[in-house]
Amino acid sequence: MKNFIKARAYAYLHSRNLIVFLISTAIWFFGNLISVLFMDGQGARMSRVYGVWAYMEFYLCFIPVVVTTWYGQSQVSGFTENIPFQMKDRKFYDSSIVFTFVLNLLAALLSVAGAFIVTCVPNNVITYNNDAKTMGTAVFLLVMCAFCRCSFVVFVTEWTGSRIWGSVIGMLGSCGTLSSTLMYSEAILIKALGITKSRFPISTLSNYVIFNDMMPAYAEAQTDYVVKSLCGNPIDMTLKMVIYIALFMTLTYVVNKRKDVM
Amino acid sequence: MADDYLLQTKDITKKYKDVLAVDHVNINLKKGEIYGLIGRNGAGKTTLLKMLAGLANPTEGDYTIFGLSGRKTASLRDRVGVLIEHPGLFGNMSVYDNLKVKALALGVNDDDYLRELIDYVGLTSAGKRPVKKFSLGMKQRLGIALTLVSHPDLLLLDEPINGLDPQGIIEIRELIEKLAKEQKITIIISSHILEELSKIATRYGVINEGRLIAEFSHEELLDSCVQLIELRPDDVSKASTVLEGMGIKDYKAMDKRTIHIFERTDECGKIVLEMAKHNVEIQGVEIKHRSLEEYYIELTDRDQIDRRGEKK
Repeated sequence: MKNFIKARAYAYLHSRNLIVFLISTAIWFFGNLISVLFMDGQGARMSRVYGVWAYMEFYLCFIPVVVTTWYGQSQVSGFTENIPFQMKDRKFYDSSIVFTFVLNLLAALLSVAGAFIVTCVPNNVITYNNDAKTMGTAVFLLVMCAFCRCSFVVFVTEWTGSRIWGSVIGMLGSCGTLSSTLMYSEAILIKALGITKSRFPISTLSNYVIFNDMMPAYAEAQTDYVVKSLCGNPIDMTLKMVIYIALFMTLTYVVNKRKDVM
Repeated sequence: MADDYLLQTKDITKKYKDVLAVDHVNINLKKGEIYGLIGRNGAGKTTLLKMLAGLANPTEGDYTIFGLSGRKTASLRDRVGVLIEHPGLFGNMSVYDNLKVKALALGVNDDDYLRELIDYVGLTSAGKRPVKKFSLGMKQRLGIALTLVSHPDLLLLDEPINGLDPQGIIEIRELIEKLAKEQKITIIISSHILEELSKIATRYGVINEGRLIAEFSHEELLDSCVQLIELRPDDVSKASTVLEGMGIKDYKAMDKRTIHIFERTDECGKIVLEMAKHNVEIQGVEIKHRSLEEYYIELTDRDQIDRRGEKK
């Protein structure tokens, strides 16, 4: 396993993926820094937790592209066929998941670091410093969100066997289209069943809803970005996200194992 | 002796839904052999090689490789080199970087050897050029280099000459011959071109619709391709009498001066001697061969007829 991860890391470091990722991140970072320092946040006033949340939105939307590249290049591409006896020992395949998750963790932490730098430089935009517990909880939930989206994109890439489809469907998930479709379908089902009140149990499992529900009254926040405490129960949200990640990783594993017999 | 064999399959079978891709194939491969697996497109060559490479699981049957079977074969990763159809390459990376990825995956930490390997397959001049800019022949040579990274004892090469131009075919053939000769590597190589395989293989297996329908050595192949003896006697009717006297029935007088003999084609000398004994002057004699392709087509056609018979 260690050798396989070393090999994947070598391939990643010597490909253009890292450069593309770093340049994209740098553009976002400096854009935000310029906005905070010189554009005065275009008049917006926000709390630090909101600033970090908004900054992380970029990485969470960017995940489909980077993850499909990390995962797709080494798993879906023909390189896998150079390594014999994969059906006898699945360590090579497992290493692709471990590698993707490690990169995802590093990239998510890099984004968190970027968000902290942007929100910590002296400026007139961040007008409220959240306490350490709220900040810690928000960062934890945001990193969990990154893993949810990562596992979803890995599943779609494995299922379709295509980086492009992984990326496109992943984007639809990240921008909320899939979540909205799920919610409308659930609403139709609820109405058809004659239920008058519902908390949308299926749709609230979607990562997009969890991510947005972290901020209190998202609609109101359009005029007030000063969020003093997180909305919702963090334990409940974490459990939902653990289920989400477990579900998609199990499906990915099943699809990969079935590939031999299809 | 089972111990003599480096690879043995026992009724290895692969079924995809309703399609029987490989049907109870038994192959015994000895150390040092170059085994040519011949079959038309879709005959089951790739599926068979994928199973032997542990990239697909057999539906039925099993195989032993270096005396190991089942999950234990995973420990043989560094002893078996695999090139299935096209090499999986990182297009934006150089030859060295592609080799380094494979070397790291297999725990090989010898950069000097990787450079030697680049030289061995004739890709030194490629330098740091990304492999996506390579010709198909260069990519195949790199694919073969990838199979050699861990000093394997067995190579499984699936159609390595497919799509190559004549020059590329010669280059790959020479490289495979060099590997077998200099490094004593046992090789299974598949192709649908028997003519090409016959230049390097020492033993052959013909696969048709998933079944191994024939196995023969290089010498047996050459013998099988001897089709007829063309005899040019001064007197055809007298020569016919001599042939009848020898018990040869399968012959045909083509014209006043030519007879084609279709049986006992290995007894050409004896026939000529017998003619001389009976005062038949032989003005010419020639052993005619059918082409390897004709022989291959004959084998597959015979298999089709057998299958139709089985269905009835």
